[in-house]
Amino acid sequence: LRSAFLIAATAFLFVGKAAAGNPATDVEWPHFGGNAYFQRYSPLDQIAASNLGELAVAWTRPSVDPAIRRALPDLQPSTYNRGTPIMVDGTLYVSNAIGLVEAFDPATGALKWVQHPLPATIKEAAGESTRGVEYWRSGDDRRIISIRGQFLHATHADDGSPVRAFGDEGKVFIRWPTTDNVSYHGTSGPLVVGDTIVIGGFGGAVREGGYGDTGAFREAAPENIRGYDVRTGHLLWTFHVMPLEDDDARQSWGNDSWKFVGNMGAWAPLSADPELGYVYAPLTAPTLSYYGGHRPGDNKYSSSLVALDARTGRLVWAQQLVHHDLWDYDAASPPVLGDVKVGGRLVKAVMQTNKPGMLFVFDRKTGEAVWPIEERPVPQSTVPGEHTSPTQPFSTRFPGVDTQGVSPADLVDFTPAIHQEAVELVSHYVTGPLFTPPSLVDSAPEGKKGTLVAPGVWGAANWNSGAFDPDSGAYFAVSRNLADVYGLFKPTDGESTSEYAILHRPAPGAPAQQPRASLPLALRLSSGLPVLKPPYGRITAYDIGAGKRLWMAPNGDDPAIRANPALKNVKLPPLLGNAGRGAPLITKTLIFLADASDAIVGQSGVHGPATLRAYDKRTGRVVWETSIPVGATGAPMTYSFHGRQYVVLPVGGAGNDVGWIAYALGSR
Amino acid sequence: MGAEPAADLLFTAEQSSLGQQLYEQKCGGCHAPDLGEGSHGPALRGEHFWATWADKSARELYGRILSTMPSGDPGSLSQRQVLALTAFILATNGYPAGATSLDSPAQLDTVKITKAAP
Repeated sequence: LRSAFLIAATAFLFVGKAAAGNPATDVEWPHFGGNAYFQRYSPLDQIAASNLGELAVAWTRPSVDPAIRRALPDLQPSTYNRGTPIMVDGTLYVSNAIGLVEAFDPATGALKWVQHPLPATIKEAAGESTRGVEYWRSGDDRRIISIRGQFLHATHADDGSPVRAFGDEGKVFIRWPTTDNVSYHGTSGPLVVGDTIVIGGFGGAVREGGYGDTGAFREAAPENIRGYDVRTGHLLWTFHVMPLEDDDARQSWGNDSWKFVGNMGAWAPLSADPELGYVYAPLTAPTLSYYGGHRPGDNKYSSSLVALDARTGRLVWAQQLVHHDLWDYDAASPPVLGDVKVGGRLVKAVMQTNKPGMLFVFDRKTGEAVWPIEERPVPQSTVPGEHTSPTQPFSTRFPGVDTQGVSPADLVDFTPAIHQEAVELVSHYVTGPLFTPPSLVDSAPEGKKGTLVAPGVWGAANWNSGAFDPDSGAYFAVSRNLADVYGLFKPTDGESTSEYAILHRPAPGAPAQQPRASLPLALRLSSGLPVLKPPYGRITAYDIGAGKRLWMAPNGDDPAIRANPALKNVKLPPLLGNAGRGAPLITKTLIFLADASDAIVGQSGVHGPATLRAYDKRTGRVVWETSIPVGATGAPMTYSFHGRQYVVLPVGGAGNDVGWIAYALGSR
Repeated sequence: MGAEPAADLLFTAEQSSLGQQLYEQKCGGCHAPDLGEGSHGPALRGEHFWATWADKSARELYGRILSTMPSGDPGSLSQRQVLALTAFILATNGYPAGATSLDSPAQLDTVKITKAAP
C-alpha cells in the first residue's frame, strides 16, 4: 500500500501540463495490479455494501477505437481483451484489443488518443492485447511503457506519439534468439521499477505459438528476465533462468541438459518493492513440461520464485516451488507483496500461489519462509527413464487453494447415476495424491489411459489468483478446479525430440489421426460435465499473519453447467463456481469478481451473458450482482475521479464488441 | 451445409487441402490437430465452433483469422493463405468443396455460417 501512496504523492508534486485530474481528491490506480506490490487493492470506500443497489453503468467503450475499425473493415480483433486500465494524472491508459495503447477520459470513457502511428493496413493493425501498461515520469517527461508483439514501446502520455529517444524511434525489439525465430509473447505487459523496465514473457519454444507446454520438443530457448533503461530503451541486464556456469544451480541439470532445455520464463505478472529495489518474478516449467528423462535433477530455476535487484538483475534469492516439474506446475500467479504481523513481528512478506495450489509466504528481503515449508515424499513415476523428485515442498500452515490430487470423494455426485459414470470413467486412469506423475497410455482395452491430475495443467492458481488486503492482512486466492488427463506416448513422427509427450485425445466426431502431441485436457463425462465436484472455482481468504484459512466461497457461476440437460430436475447450489480465469479487485469493504469469458483460452469460461458480483471481503458472502453482456477477459480496477468512484471491467466474447464497462453510483 | 445456395461449392478441394497444410504448420501449436479442443486455442469444430460462429458472416471468420492469427505473429498470413484456412475450417464443419475457387474475401460477404441440419 505504501508504494501506491508514494507513487501517488510523487504524481501530485509534478503535475504535467496535460494532466486533467484533480490531485486533491483523485485516487489513482497507477499499476495494472493496483500498485507495484500487485495487491489488486484500493482504499476507496464510496461504493459500499449499503449503496450497491445504486451502482449503474457509467460508460462503456469498444475494445478497439471505432475509427480504426471503420478504416479497416476486415479487422476483427480478438475477443480476448486482456487490458486492465491504469489511472494516472486524470487519464485511463490501456492496451486495446489489438495491443495499441488508448487513453480515455475517466468520467466518460471518451477517447483522448490512440498510440500512433495509427495502423494503415490489417498487417499493421493485427496484434493482441496485454494485461497491463506502465507509467513513468520525470518532470514533464511522462511516458506509457507497453509491449506490443515483438516490441517494447515508449509513448508520450500527453498525446500518444512515440518517444523518439527510446530505442529505435520509440520501440525496442525484444524477441529472444530462437532457432526458428519463434515469436515473443508478453501478454502480462512490462513492469517499471525506478528507471528500469523489467519484462518477462514467453516464446522460447521451437514452434509457432511459442508455447513450450505443448508439442514434443525438448529444445527451447530460456525465457530470460530482462531489464531496460526507461529513458533510452537500452538493455541493462539479463537474468538467466537457466543458470550460467558460475552458478551452483547449474548442478541441478544432469546429463548436460542445461545446454538445450529452455522456457521457464515469467509469463504471469511481475511485482516489485520500490523501496528495496527488488523485482519478483514467478518462473515456470522447463521443456518438456511433462517428461524429464533428459533433465535429471531439480532443474533450477524452473517453477521457482526469484527476487532480483531491479538495477542490475542480480539474483537476490530464489525458492524453487516444484522440483523437476512433470506437470507444467508453473508459478503462474503474481507475487503479491504485503506487510503482515506474525507473532508480534512485522514481516515484509511476499505471498505466492502456484498451479499445484500451494500458498507460500516468504520474507521478501531474505527469501526465508515465514511459515514452515516441508519436503514431503511424493509418488514416483513409472515412465521409463524418468527421474522423479523424491520429495516436493508443501506449505504446512495453509490448506491448498483448491482440490489437490484425485480421490473417490472428489468425484462429481449431482445424482447417483452421474457419480457412477464418473467412478467408471476415472477407473481407466491412474489416480493418487498431489504430484502423482504422468503415466503412459496403455493401448490394451483394460489398460490405464494415463494419469488423472488435479489441479490440471492450467493450475489451481493461475495469473488471476492473488490479492492482498492491507487493512486486515488477508490474502485472497482465486482458483479453478478441473482434473486433466496426463497420458504419455512415444512420438514416432520423426520430428519429435522427446522420448515421450502428452497424447492428444481425439475430438468427438473427428476422423482418426496419427497419434499427436498435445497439452493435457480436462476429463469430462459423456454429458460434458467435469469429473470433479463443484465448485469449479473458488475464492479462498487466508489470514497470513495468523497462518490460517479464513473462508472459502465459489468464485462465481457456470451457466453452461447449470443448463446441462443431465442436471434437469437436480437441485443445484446457488453458485457452482467458474473454472475460467476471473481476477479479483479488493476495496475497503468489498471484493469485485466477474465470471470469466470463454474468450480466455483454458478449456473453460462463460459463453455469452455472465455476472459481475460483489462479495463482503470479511465473509465471502455475495452482497450484489449484475448481469454483463459477456464474461470478463481481464482484471477489474477502481479509481476516484472528481470525487466519484468508478469500477472498470474488461470484457469480451463472441458477438460483442464491448471492451470495457465502467460502473459508478447513480445513473449516467 | 449452408442454408443459402451461395454457401455451397464455395471453394475447391485444393484450397481446403492447402488450408490443412497451413493449419498444421501455423496453427497446430495451439489448436488441436483435429480442430477439437486445443491446448491454447479453442475448438474450431463442433459445438464450440457453432456457438461462436453460427449466423455470422464467413467474411468475419476470414477477418478474425487475418487479424489475430497466428498468435504472436498476427498479420503475417497472406490473403490467399487466410482464404485457404477459411476454406479448410468450413470444410471441416460440413461445407462441401466444389469447382469454384475462393479468390477474394468479397465472395464470403453473403455467406452466412449456418449449422447443418442433422
